[in-house]
Amino acid sequence: MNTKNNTATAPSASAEVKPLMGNEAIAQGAWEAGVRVAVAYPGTPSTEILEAVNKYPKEDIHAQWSTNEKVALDVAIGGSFQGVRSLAVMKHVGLNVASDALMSQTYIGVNGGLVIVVCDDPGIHSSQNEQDTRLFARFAMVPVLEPSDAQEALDFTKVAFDISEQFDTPVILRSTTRLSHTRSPVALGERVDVPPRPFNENPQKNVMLPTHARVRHAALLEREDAVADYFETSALTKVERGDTKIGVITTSMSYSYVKEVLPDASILKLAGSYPLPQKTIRDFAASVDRVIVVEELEPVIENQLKVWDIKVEGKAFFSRMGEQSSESVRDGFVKAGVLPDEGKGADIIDLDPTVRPPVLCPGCPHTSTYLSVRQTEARVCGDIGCYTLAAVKPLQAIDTCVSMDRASPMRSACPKPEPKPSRLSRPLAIPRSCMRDCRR
Amino acid sequence: MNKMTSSSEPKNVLIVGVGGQGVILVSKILATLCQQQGFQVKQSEVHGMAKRGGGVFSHVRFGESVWSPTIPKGGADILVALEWAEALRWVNFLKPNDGTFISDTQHIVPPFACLSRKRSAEVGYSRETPDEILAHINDGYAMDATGIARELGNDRAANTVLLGVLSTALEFQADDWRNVISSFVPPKTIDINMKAFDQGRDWALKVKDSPDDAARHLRSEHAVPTVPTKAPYDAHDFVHLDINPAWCKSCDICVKMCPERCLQLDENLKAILSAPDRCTGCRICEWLCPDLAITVYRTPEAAAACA
Repeated sequence: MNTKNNTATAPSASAEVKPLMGNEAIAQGAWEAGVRVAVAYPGTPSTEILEAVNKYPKEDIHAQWSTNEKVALDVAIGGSFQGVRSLAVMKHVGLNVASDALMSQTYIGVNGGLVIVVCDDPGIHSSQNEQDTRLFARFAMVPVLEPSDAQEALDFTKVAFDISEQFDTPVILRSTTRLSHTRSPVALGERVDVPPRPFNENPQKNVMLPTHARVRHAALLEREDAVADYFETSALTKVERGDTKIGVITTSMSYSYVKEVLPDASILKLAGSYPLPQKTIRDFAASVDRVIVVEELEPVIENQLKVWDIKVEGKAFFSRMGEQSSESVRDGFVKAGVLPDEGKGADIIDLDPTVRPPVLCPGCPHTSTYLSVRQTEARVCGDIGCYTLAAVKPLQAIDTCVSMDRASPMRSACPKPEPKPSRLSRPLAIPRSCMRDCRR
Repeated sequence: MNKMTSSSEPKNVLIVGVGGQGVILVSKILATLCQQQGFQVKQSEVHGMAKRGGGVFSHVRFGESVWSPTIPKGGADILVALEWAEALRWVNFLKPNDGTFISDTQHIVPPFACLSRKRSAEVGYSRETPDEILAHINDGYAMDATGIARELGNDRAANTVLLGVLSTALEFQADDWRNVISSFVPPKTIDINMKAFDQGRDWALKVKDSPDDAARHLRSEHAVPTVPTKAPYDAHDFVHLDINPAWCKSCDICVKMCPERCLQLDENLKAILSAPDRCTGCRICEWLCPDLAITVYRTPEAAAACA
């Protein structure tokens, strides 16, 4: 087995070692990488990253919350244009809001390094959907790095800035709830001083007109190949030689679950799922009898390998939804016939657990608002935040919740009054602007 | 380095409770201690709902090398529960034969535990008594840690009492525990926390040293009795509402939202419990009051203490 990869949980002895949450490690990585501008819109599980960035000296990093994720990315893009390393942070659904900026910026590339940290929420612990950011990375043709523990979160953040500047591209660092909120020992390093680059006087690259964009699209396709080549030889792409009967291709948190349940398998650990190092993957696949891809949520790697006609299996055994765990990965390998079915152990005690739904905090002032609103008997368009809890007992005061800041426009689509409305036919909006989440 | 390192399997400790109780603090203390003792540690939690009165849990795994950050069902060596119903929610995560169960027996009743107006409606809170649960577990400890901490002068030290019990299940030195706890709690509370730690530790050591029959009795020595679960019962024996008239601003929310209609505004427009026989202690009034004027106590001891 390749021993160099055991660094996953074993930081070097010389450096100061501190237990950090994945989110804190990303902040430390950004600071060490010489980032000067860090911008975010908060949202679980990403919120602690900017909070942690804000603890570094102000003269090192300018940190700010923005009014939404698109503005956050715009500010970071401004930093990049000005030649300094810049970081934008958001949760997965935030990238939808920021995508307008991202889809053009990917054509422009970067001046100072530009990294977008996006935290996915497999299992939907605290979100409105379960979308997989890796699909977005492929869509925007932006390289994506997927660390598997806090040490890698720090290291990958630094590498992300190098890739960004070397290949003239924004880079997405994709975390998940589990990585963001798991604390493990991290070896801390020093900050490198990256002097600001002068503004790049190149309108063909900085101004996206049709004539410029056509040229840049071609550059994007070349960039895809160049970054894929980089991953062929990068230290982030790791092959662990083990049992040659089974070869597992994996990345991110899935890697730690695979190590837990199949410690002896041959493993190809990828830096991320876009772009993929085709030659390394082909060589690995040829060196084992059977290749299984283990990835959380969508079959992003698996589908690409199938397009390349590499014989792999994956989502036939592992679910496309929900958060993975060592248990679900074990179950997948049982289904694949790799591990024996040892059955489920019996419960110690058969119990009906007490139902304990989350509620608004004791004394929350929104409670009174909702009670008043309820008395009007209007249809209420709610919005996103802790106050979405008004949808359930005992408040039951909102009727819809779609996405952030959508309540007011939805309300304006007012239907004609019915002859005898059971609730007021003119809907009432609770826009986000008047319902602030107290955690912010 | 102690002898746990001889095993290559990581040790799995699951810490559970209700938002605001200090689950994350307890797991940080344990994780820091493990790291100081030279182990690899992963500590995993899910944020977001923590302040909303929902259940909170944290996985701590330590050993020579640790991969997955989470503990599978049936894989926990130790369960530390800061609240009784949460202990029962997670008890089946313990290793079936040799898991250690440590729980506070205090009840934090969810606000919606009783929404039914029917006589004899069931209150949605666990009915199992500590003795019933401990009968299924080889190494179990159930105690009123909150009560012990309250006697020491700060009921928030309850989780340190439980850390004292936990310290007897792991092989780190007591002084190492004390040092790490002191570095995490507010400086003014170090004294109380040290006493809380010692009380939990001494009690657990006493249980371990006792002959089997006595130990069985001792394991739930300080447990809070389980409140009857059919409502309405003789509530004034078990429920006490503390309403601070100085904070009540007559908003009427508690009166309107009480599922049993047992609150009223008095002649001074202050909320009072006008029909104590109907009160089930469901805590909706406490939760809804925008001025935090209402506190619901739901045990005879607690009711007596503040009467």
